[in-house]
Amino acid sequence: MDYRVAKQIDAVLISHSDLNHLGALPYARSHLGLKCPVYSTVPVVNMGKMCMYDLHQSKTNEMEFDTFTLEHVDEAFDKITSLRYSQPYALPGKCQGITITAYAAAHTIGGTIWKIKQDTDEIVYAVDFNHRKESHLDGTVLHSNGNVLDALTRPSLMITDALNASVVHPPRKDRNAAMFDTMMTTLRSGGSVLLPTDSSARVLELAYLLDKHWSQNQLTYPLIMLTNTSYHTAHFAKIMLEWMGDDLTQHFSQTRENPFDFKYLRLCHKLEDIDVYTGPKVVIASNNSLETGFARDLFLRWMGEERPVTHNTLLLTARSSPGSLARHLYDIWNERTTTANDDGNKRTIKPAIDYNESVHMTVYKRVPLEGEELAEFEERQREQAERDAAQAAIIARSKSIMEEDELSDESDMDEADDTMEDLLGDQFDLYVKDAGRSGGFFKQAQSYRMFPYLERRKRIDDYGEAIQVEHYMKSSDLDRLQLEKEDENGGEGANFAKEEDMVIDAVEPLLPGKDEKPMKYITTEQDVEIQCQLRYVDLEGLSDGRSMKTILPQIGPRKLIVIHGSSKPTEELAQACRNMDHFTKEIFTPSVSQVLNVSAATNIYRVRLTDAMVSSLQFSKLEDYELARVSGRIHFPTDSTTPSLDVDTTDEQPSKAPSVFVGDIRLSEFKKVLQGEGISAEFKGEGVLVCNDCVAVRKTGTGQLLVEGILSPDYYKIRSLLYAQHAIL
Amino acid sequence: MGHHKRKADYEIPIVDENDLLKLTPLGAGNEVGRSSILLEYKGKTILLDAGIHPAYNGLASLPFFDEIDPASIDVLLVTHFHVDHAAAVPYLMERTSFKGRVFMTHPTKAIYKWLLSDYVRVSNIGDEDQLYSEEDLITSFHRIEAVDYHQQVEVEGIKFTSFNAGHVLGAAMFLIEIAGVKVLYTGDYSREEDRHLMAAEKPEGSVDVLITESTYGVQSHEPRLAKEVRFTSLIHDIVGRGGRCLMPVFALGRAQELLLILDEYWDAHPELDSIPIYYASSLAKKCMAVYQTYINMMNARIRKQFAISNPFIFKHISNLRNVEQFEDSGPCVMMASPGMLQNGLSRELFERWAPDKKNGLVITGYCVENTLARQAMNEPQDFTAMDGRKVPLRMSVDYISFSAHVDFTQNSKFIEEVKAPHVVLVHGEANAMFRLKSALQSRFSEREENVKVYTPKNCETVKLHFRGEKMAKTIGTLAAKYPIENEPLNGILVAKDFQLNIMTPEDLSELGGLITTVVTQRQVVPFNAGISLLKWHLEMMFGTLNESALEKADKSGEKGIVLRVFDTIDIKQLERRNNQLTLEWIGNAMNDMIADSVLAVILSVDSSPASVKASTHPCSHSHSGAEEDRDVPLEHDKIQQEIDMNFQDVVAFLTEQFGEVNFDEKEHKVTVNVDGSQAIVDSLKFSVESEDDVLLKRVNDVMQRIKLAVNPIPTF
Repeated sequence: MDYRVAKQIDAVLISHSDLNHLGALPYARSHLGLKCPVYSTVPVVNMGKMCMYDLHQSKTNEMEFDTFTLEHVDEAFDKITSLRYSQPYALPGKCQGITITAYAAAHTIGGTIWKIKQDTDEIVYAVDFNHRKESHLDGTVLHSNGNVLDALTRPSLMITDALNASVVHPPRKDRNAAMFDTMMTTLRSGGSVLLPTDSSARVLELAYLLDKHWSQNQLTYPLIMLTNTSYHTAHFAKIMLEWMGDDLTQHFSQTRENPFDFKYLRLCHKLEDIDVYTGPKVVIASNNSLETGFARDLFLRWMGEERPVTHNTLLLTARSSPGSLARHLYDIWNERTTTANDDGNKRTIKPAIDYNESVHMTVYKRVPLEGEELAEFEERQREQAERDAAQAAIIARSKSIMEEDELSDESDMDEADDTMEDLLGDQFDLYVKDAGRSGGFFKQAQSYRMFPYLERRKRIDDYGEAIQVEHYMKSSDLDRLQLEKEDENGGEGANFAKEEDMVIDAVEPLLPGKDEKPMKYITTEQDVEIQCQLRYVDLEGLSDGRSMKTILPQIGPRKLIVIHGSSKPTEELAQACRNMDHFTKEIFTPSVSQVLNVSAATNIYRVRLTDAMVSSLQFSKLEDYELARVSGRIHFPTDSTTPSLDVDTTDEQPSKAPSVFVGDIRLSEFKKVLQGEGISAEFKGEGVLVCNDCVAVRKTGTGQLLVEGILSPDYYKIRSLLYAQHAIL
Repeated sequence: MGHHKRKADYEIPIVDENDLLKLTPLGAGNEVGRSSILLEYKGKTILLDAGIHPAYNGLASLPFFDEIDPASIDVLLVTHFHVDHAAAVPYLMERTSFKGRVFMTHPTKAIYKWLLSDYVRVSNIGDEDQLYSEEDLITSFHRIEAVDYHQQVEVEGIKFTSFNAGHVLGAAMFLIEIAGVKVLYTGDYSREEDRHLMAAEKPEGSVDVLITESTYGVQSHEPRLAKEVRFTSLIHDIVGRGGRCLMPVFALGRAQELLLILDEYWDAHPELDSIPIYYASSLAKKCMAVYQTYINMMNARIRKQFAISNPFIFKHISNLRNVEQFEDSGPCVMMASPGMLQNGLSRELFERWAPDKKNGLVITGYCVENTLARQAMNEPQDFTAMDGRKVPLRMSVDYISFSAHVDFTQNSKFIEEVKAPHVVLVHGEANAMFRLKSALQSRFSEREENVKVYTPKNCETVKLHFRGEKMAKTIGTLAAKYPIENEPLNGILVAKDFQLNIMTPEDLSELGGLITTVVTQRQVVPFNAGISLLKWHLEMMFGTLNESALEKADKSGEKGIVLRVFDTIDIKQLERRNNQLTLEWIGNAMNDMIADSVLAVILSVDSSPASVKASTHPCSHSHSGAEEDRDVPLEHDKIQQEIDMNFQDVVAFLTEQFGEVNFDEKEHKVTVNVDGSQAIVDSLKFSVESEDDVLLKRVNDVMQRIKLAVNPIPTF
């Protein structure tokens, strides 16, 4: 995108909340002059923001980053018009007459298939969708239970992606099992597992899946989610249940436990945070490209030179974009496993490999300033501070002169307040009940702004007031008891320290502020010895190529554009489509910045049908349709601009048009109809339906029907049944 | 209540039953409670809400479902989770023949289950009187589909969209569109933004019928701030004088708003710290997770707060699990359900606290007639307790309405903004409703606006006539040119879900998504005579035929002969199978008829006496009878004969029409003389020549009719 393009755009529709789909938005708005309205679903706004915050923070951690700022991110996302699924939205202004509607695409929360409609022209933009159900999302509405959503069938143009055109998926269950298998093997042998992922979209699936696995198997290995925004990602996930799968909402309604109130998964924001958790662990970290973020840091730390003796595992769940480190590793894994296990059966999940190579990469570091640099920096800071102070003093003085009169009355009170504030400024230990404690909705006990004293309800047993043994103990024994109790509290199993975590998170700013200490960035190019177990398990949550090829003909677009794939899969998908019967031959595979003209411009005008016309129509029913031949004359009524269509009253005989048969029956269904009527019908040979051994019904290559038989009553009966399956006009 | 006569007061004489939009309240007609309104139009049936009447028990509390066939309902839309709008849903879904689809918003569905299971438990009086069981509730719960605000759903031609209605979390208004007619059902709604909910939205675009609630009739609410101040100071007073303050509330909905107000007030008044606020509802506790989750359906204020911390975690309010746990000592504030003191904890506490004049009862919600809360509002000397004894009522009784229903100002403003020509009032007691009706009517007549207001009773049908203006879109090649006056338009009309499109048959697959097909038929007939004999017979019947060798017509490589009748039906005879014929044609009504007649000829060839004559040589011996001597006429002769006959017919007709005519038998021409003008008619071509235009036209008309009479089946 450049300046010229950005300024010409009238509306932007965003379909997913990951970098691939919205990464350039803040930059385009702040630097390229993109001013038009932007549309997306509610979760894409929330999660997209998380995605960009995370990226910004990751970049800031490794270099001076000014491509965009956090303010740019806020500005870009706060301006988005958010929509709900299947909410038709009429675009304003220049785009008047165009209606956009979002449909669930699955893959990511709030993921969208866009329908853009003007009159009879319908464009369906469906990239990165998933027709299969996942643990936190249902499959796309585009194709559910084997049926294509009515509203999305037969668009005049469909734009889809070829990312997965040559991929065939093993069942999801097997893939999950493979992931857990690798994970457990590594953990048991004392290694840790790194799962690079994004910070906003697929991370939810991984987090939910792993947390569930952990609680089902009651695992004690630490499970950590490490992104710059992990708390808020989970926080927003909690309030967007209505955008998630039915199973999840049903479960929530049943148990009232929010599925994103993780039981085992710990949320961390800093690399140092994970040092608390010792021993083998599993870390989900951003970014999935391994080009930036904690994932790269951990990769270097665990698999690079400083690695401990044990074998750690890098588990890729997405292929990432070409050119990235993750893709490079994937390619190597793919190459090695393909040669080792080339039996052509693509549906098995390929195993992990021992990766032991040296990779040339850039290592980013942020270190505190020292010595001269530090002195220089401090000098600059001080000068700046002095300047600021001088400036502030001037402003304050002029202000105080102006307001002096007004203030004089209130000054007494101000003073009083000041002293009060001074008093409050000193710290006292007050017993304040923890308000942010999650779980409880009501206050659990009365709170006191006084010395904490909890009035205990007097327990009464059969002998009167129950004896509290502690009251009668020696003080030394009491101390010992106290200590024991504290120990107990310390070891509550896997759930320790959880609530405290949450409280700290809640009051923490969205992103950790920059360290106070002056820092500088150091970038070195170096060869790093990498040693790890490497495995790729496809958890991208996208429909595979085989499914694409069955879904596309069911949608039946009148034109098709294939994008988002390298040339080979793109061509493969395009070719597969060209070979389909009844499928459009207008398939385009544009390259970047190529301009296509795909305007369909269907002619259209409205007519009002007169009552006489309506009553003269003879409708025949076909599925949900009603069809009738209409023949009349156009008249322009004086009181309206819309032409009306009236019955032909002139004597002229209209030329009789030949009959039209509408309908596309399946022979297998017709067979059932015949059998229902007591006629034996069997398939013989190549799709020939033989009925009562004397009449054959078949479909020719062009989709036409052929009835063949000897003269007999059956012939006529079968023919009339066949006719009845169609609307004849 | 069930003895209303079924008469339609508002009937307008109309022609087409199909154009009638029928609205029948099965509940909530001239009453508050058991909301359930039946909407029928164009063969589609929608039920809006299915609630119970809180003042009745068992079957008597249901809407009049026995007046309808539940199986005919296509869609049930539930506006919010209150029992008077949703509690009959499990009954309808599980205990009747209902088989439609049910929709409600996500929070409504989430709370529905807990609220109704509580209702089932509380109303568990006797097994025979119970409307439905816990299992029914669970099964129904799984069949309910959840929708989001603004999401447009289409079910077989019924389009509907839900909008924010305020009132309670998840409350929705439904805008329903069938065949272009739009009906807006408000459910219970509020036009005032409060602490956690946004005000009801007004859907864009025109609305034809507005079904609105009328709970508060012509009453006006006091401004929110004043009301809140009155409320908090009233409570302050009661606890200040050492009394206990009882607030009967619906467990969910407005109670959450009151909690937010009280928590804020207690925060601001540290002197109240020692006075506990109890909220005695395990149901509310259960549903709090729902309030914490569906933040996106509340207002911007709450969403903002939520980003920092959870506003639904209260600092000063304690949950009371059961009465045993409750130490009744000293002043306190107690919120307890149910909201109208029908039974349960609120009733129990009311009976306990009523005799002490220090105590206070604060009623915050709307109270239905025949409930104790309603009676208490009239401050009687005493009342009857659950166990039958008389209890004196000395505690103070106050009524501050926090029920999020519209008042007159808001309701009438909303009605005016929606601008629907038909307004149907429901969910209001008869008096309130009629006052509102007359207030609205006088307002409309002042402005000379033609708006009709209806207040149907239960089971009374409002019939509205919508002249189904049929608009169709002409698309594709048919619409290539904008039409001019009197231009013919021929095509196929495709109707789906009340959308009409006209297109050419060729465009059907491209634009309509419909596949056209061709049915080719091939029939095999045994035939033993010679092909030339058949040809002769067919020519007798159908005129000239096309004959060609099979090799040319077909690529099969078979040798044989093909006869083509009327350019539609091929009769093939293969050389290697000369004892049978194959008929092949493209199936349609006309072709099938011709094929049948061809078949009749083929079948009669073998047995027809004419064949025998045609195929036998004349024999030398004589036969008796003159007829048999006559030779079979040759083809030319036959045609000649026919033409002559036709000519004579034409002459006869013309003579009838124009008097004496001259004719030339050889040239087959007739000359007509009328008033000195002359017209020459060619009876073979049926053409007319004349110098007089008037006569020419007249003779021409006559000739067209003669042509139809003489030659009724045109040659193909």
